[in-house]
Amino acid sequence: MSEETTNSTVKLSIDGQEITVEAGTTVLEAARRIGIDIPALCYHPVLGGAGACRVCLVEVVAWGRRRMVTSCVYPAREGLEVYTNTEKVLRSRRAVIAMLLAKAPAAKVVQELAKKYGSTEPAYEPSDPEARCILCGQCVRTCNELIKVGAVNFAHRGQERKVGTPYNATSDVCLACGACQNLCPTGNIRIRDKRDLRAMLTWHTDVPWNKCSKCGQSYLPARLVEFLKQQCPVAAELVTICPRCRREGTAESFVQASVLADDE
Amino acid sequence: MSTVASEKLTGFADLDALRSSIQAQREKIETTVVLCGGPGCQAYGCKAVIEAFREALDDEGLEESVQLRVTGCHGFCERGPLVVIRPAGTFYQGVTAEDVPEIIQKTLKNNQLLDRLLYVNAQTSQKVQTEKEVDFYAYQQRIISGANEEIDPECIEDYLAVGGYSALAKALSQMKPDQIIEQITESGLRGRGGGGFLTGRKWQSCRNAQGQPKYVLCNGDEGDPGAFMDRTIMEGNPHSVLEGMCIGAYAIGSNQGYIYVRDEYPLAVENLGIAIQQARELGLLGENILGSGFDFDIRINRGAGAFVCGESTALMASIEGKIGDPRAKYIHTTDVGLFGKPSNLNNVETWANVPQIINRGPDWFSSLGTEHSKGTKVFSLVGKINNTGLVEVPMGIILRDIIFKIGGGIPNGKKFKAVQIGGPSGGCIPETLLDTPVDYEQLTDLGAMMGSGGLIVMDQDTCMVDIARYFMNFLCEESCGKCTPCREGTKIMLDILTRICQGQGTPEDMEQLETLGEDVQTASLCGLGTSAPNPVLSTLRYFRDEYEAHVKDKRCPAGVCRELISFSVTPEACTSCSLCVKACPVEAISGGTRKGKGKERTKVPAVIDQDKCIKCRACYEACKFNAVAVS
Ligand SMILES: Cc1cc2nc3c(=O)[nH]c(=O)nc-3n(C[C@H](O)[C@H](O)[C@H](O)COP(=O)(O)O)c2cc1C
Ligand code: SF4
Ligand code: FES
Repeated sequence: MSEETTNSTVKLSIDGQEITVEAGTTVLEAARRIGIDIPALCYHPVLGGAGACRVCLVEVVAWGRRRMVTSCVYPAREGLEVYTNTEKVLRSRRAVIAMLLAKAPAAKVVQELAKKYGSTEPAYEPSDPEARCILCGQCVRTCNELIKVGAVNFAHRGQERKVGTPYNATSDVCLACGACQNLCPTGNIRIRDKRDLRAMLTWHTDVPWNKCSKCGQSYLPARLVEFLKQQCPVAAELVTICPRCRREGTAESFVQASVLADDE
Repeated sequence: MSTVASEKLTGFADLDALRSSIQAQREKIETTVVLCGGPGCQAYGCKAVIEAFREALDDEGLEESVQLRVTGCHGFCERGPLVVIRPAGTFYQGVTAEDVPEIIQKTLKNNQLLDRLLYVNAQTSQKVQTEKEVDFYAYQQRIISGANEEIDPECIEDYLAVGGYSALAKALSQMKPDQIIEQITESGLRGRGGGGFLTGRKWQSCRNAQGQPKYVLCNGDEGDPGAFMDRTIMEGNPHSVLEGMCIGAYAIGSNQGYIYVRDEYPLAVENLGIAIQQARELGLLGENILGSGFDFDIRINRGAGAFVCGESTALMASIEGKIGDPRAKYIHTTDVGLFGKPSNLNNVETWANVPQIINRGPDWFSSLGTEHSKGTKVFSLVGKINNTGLVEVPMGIILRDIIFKIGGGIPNGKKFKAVQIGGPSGGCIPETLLDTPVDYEQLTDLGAMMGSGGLIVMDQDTCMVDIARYFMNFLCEESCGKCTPCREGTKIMLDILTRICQGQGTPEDMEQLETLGEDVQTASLCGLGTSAPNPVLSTLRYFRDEYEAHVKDKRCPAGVCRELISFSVTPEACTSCSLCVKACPVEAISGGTRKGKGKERTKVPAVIDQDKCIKCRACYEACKFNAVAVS
C-alpha cells in the first residue's frame, strides 16, 4: 500500500490485512469495516463499547508487547497488529461465553455465540433457566447517555449486580419510550401496551397514554409527550397529535398549499 | 495545639523565620511525653492514659515544663499503649492510666525507670530502656513513618519544626518542574499503591498531556482487609501528604488536588481537613503559595465504601459522583482522567515519599533498596505473629527478617506456614521462599505481589485451601460485577473451593481452578479481576499437597475444615480440669472431672460425643495440656 497515513488517520493490520482508519476508531469497528467478524455484546454502533461483556477480546501487539484487549474500546493505533482468531483468543472467548451461558441461558444471542464458538456447556449450573440479562448495560447507557433520563441504572456489586430502577420501585421518570428495549441484545426487557397505559414490566412502571388532541386516540406515553415538548418546544404542537392526524393534517396543508399555488 | 501565631507567609524567608522561631521555642521545653494515639493503641485504651497524663500534669503544676504530645501510630501496636519520654527516649509499653502517677513521680521527677513498663527483647530476654534498642524497631528504616512520633497531627508547628514544607519551598524557589520530575524519576520511586509504576514517568506523561485543567489525586482508599499503612500516614502525618501533592502539582502543572479517603477513616478525614485549613492559613496551599505565583488547593472526597473504588478509574468515577465502576485504561488517565482531564493519581505513601526525595536527593533515595525497587516500604504486619504492627523496612530486606527479627516470629511455639503478601489478591509464600527480598519483580515472579503493603502471617493451624476460599469470597463479594469473567469466574472458583473444603472436591476441580484462574486473569477488565486468582493459584503452586489431601483423602491436614475433621481427647494427656467441658457450647463433652475425695480421688478423662460435636474448636482452644486432638 502506498497510501500515506495522515495525522488524523492510522494504519494497522488485522489478521494480516492492512487498513487505514480515522484515529479514534476502535479496533472492533475497523475489523468490521473489512468484514472481519468479532462478536460483541456490550457494543452498539450508537453507544460504542463498554468493555464489559469481554467476548470481543483480541490479541494486539503494540510497542512490541503482545496482550489481550477488548476490541470494542481499544483505539486503533499506527502500526498496531491485531489478531482476532488465535488459540489464546478463542480459549478466552469460549470461557467467557460459557460463563454468559450460565448467567443467561435463555438469551438467544448467547446461545448462538455458544454454538458458533463450541462452548455449549454453561460454566456452571444456571440458577435460573429463564434468565436473559447479561448485564451488558446497553439499557442503562441508552437511558443515561442517549435519552439522558437516567430511569434505570446498575445496582449492587458482583453476583448481585442488576439493572433496574432505584430500589426496583416504580420509576417517576421513566418515559416508557422503549428505547432500552430496542437496544437490548437479549430481549430481556418486557413491555406491554395495554388499553390505558404502557406497562414497562421489567421496570415496574406504568405510564398512561397521551390522547391525541384531535381524535382522542392513545398514541404515545404521556410522559414521553411532555419530554418531547420540553426537548423541542418548536414541535410542541406537533407531538400532541397522533401520527395519523398528523399525516392527515400534513396532507390537508399540502392540498391547501397547492390550491393556493394554483390560484397564483 | 497552636503555640506560634503567624500571618500568612508571603515569601520563602517568612517560612524560614517561622521555622526558626518555632524551633527556638521548642528548645526551651525540657521534657516531652509522647503518647501514641494511633488506632492500635486506642484499642488498648490509650485515651484513658492520655487523660490521666493531662490531669496529673495539671495537678502537679508541670503543664509548663512538660510538653504532652499525642501522635499518630508509632507502629508497635502489639504493645500499646506506648509512651516515649524525651529527651532520654525512655520507652514504656502496655501503659495504663493507673501507671501514670508513678511515671510522673519516678521517671519525670526523679529520673527513675519503671521496670515493669520496660520492653523485654524476645531474642535476648533483656529489658531495654529506649525505643532504639527495641528489636521491633532495630531492623526498620522509618523514613516515612518515623516522623509520626515527632508530630501532633493537629499541629502544623510540629511538622514545621522537623523541617516540614522545606521541600516545597526548595521546589518552588530553586527547581524547574522538569527538574523535579527528573529527580523523582532518578530516585527510582515506584507507586506504593499496588502497581509499582515509576512515579516520575507517570508525572511526565501527565505533564506532557494535552488539556487543562490537570488534576493530582491521592489514593487513600486502602481497601485491603487488615491494612492500615495509609491510614497511619493520613492520620498521623497529614502534612507530608499535602506537601508531596503540592510539589507534584507544581511539577505536573496542576492547580487542583483531590484526596480520596476510605469512608471508614473519619479521623483521617478530620486530620487531613485540619491540615489543609492550617496550610491554607499559612499560605502553603491556596493562591500564590509562598509568594511563588503558584496556586494549588486540595479537596477531600470520602470513599464509597467499596474495595474496587481504590482502582484508579473507579476512584475517578466515584469522585465525579458516578457509580464506582472501573473502565478500560487503553487511554491512560494521565491523558483522560478525572472529569475527562489529564490526571495523576498516586498512593498516600507514594506522595509522602516525595518531600524526602526533594530534600535529601535522588541518590540518597536510590541508595536504599534493590536494583529496581528503591526506598522503603511500609507494611502492616498482622496474623499469627508476635509483634503485630506497622513496620517500615528498606526494600530488599528478606521476608524472613521481617517475620522473625522484626515480627518476633510465631506465637505459642507454633510453626510458620505461609505469609500472604499483596493484599487480598496477593499470593501466599511458603517457608522455603522466605529468603526472597522485598522487591516488586521478585514477588511477582513468585505469584504474589508487592501490593499496597499487607503482610498476613499464617501458622501451622492455617488451612491453605480454607485461606484461598476466604480471599476468594472477599474478592467475589467485592467484584463490581461489570465484567463477565471477574463476576462469574470468582463465583465459580469460590464454589469449587467451598466444595473442596467440604470434602466434596475432585481432582478435576483442581485442574478447573487452574484453567479458570488463567481465564479470569487474562479476560478481566481491571486489576481486581486480573489478580483475583492469585491466592488460589499461589496456594495450588506451593501447597498442592494440602489440596490433594482434601480432594483425595478427604482430610484437612491443618485441622480446620469442619466437614473433614473430628475432635477427640487423648485420655493420657487429660488432667480432668474440666475447662473443655465448660467451653463446649453444646454439652458434647462428658467426664473431664475428678471423682471422690482424698486418696480415693480419681480422674475421669473427658470424652467428646461425636454426634453432638459441632466442631467449633472451643475445646481445642480451651485445653491447656494439648489433650484435645484434631484429626
Ligand atoms: C481493585 C483495586 C483496588 C485498589 N485499591 C487501592 C487502594 O486502596 N489504594 C491505592 O493506593 N491503590 C489502590 N489500587 C491501585 C490504584 O489503581 C493505582 O494504581 C494507584 O493508586 C496508583 O498510585 P501509585 O502509582 O502511587 O501506586 C487498587 C487497584 C485495584 C485494581
Ligand atoms: S475485573 Fe471485576 S472489579 Fe474489575 S471491572 Fe471486571 S467485574 Fe469489575
Ligand atoms: S463488546 Fe467489547 S467487552 Fe463487550
